[in-house]
Amino acid sequence: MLPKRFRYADQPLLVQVLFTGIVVSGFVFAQLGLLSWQAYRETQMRSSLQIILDKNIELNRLSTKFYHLNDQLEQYVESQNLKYYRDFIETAESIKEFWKSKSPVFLKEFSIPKEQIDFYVSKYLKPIKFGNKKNISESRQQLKFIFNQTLTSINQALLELENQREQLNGELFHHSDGIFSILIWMNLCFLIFFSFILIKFYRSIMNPLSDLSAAMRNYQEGKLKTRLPVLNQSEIGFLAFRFNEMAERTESMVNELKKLDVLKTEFLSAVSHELRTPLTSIMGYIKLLVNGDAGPINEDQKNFLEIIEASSLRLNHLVDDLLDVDRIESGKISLHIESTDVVSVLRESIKSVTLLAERKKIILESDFSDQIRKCEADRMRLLQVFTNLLSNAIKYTEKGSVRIKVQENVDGINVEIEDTGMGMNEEEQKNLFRKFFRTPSAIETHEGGTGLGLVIVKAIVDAHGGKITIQSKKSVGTRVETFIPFIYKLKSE
Amino acid sequence: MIFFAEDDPSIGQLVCFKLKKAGFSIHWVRDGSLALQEFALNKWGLVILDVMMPGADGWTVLKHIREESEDKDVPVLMLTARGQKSDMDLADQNRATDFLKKPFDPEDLVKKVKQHLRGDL
Repeated sequence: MLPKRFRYADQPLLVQVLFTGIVVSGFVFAQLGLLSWQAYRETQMRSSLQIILDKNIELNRLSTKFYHLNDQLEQYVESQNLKYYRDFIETAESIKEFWKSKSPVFLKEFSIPKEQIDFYVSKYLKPIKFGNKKNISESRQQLKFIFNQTLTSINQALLELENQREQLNGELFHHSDGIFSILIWMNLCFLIFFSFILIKFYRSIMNPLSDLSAAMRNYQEGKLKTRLPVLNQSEIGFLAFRFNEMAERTESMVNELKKLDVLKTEFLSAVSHELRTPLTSIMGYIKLLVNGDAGPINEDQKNFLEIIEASSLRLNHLVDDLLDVDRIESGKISLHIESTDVVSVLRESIKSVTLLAERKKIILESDFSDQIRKCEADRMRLLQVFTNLLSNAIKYTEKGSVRIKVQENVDGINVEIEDTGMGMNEEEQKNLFRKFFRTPSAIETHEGGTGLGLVIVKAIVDAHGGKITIQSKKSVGTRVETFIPFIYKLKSE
Repeated sequence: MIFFAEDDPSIGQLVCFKLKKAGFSIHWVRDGSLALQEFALNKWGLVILDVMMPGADGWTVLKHIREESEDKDVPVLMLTARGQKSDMDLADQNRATDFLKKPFDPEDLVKKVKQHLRGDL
């Protein structure tokens, strides 16, 4: 799974961070090194400059001394006074000392003729002392010549020093200028390089993360086939890998559940068929016997057969209800919508429960006219709803009446079924639409019931876009209001 | 003469008993594939088909009668498991004449047979 080409973004985050750190510190060290080198070079050049300056000063002093020596010699020759001669000798001695204190290298460096000066000092000063005029003028000539030569040498040396100084200064300036531009370029390159690395780093985190969040959204929306590409073995790649693992597992679990759901539906339809076939047979034969098709039967036999018939009917209702609940839960409740006269449906429901009401001596009061607008609804399903609600009202009423009222509203029909039965407390009302729920007092009545009826009723009313509300008071009675709209709106998915 | 297809022997016997008692003559076949074979043997006054049958289900037999047989207009009464929308739609689509929901009262069956049976046969 590893890509063949090395890519920065494919590396583990730790490596990326370390690498970036190394680059940054490398850059900082390079800059520091460059600056220290610059400082070292500058100090070196400055000390060379200082040496040059020192030499300059000494040479200037030497030249001053020579001028002084010359002046003294002139004065002595003019005045023939020994006092000046002594001064002259003194100066000459000091020059001599100066000479001695300087290394020969120093003199050689500036091509100052030491030998000539030595010769001059040792040989030509003596004749001056003894006052030989010819010798004196000769000496003077010689001295002048040496003096000029020496000064020229000194001046030349000074000039040379000046040149050296200027060159050094220029070098110094050039050098720092070079360092400065190197630093600018270096920083610029580093800025570009560092931004590049930062962008890479950012992308290597942000792109996979936004991919991941998009994938998660897709997954949430039910696209269970969503997978992320595992690009590398970095932490981010690992995250994608883990996501894929999770997605794989969840998908297989969902598929397993779907298979189970299909199995459940198949099972239910198989069970209902297997139950219904013998029930059809049982109920058919009971009818034959009760109708006397197989010969006359006595009153007891007829009673017993009717009990068997009622039990079979209950079993049949249970099968119907179980199938209905399964359809509701899997969202497969389908309506056969047609223009339906709710009042006629209600009349049919009342007819089917009349026998039950008569048996319990409960009065059915109906309060509605036949002039009521038709609704777009499933006739069979509405029949199921009203029959269920009416039989509930009768089943759980000991004495009194069940009142049925129909009102036409602006957008639909309101059917009100009110009984004077046992009623329910608030806790029981909350659980009313829960599967298999039956109130304790309802169970005590020994009236048959599966606890599925109201679940189915509510689902049917909801599927029509209607509304069902129940108000009840313990030991007073219950009022159920069912609203069915005139116009059926197909529920958007 | 009534052509009747039903795989369950007890229901078959029940229907045959009741209809014979009501004065009709009836030919009972025990599964879908037999129904497909034997429908062509005669011209029937009414066909009663159970939906869930081995061999071929009631809808397949009905489709065969309506599209391939020589007596396409014969009245057909379907015995469905229940009055669900899907069943009613299937009955409409396949042009069933009427249907009876199981479990049924034998008296209702007799009523429906009297209503749909072609008088001359």
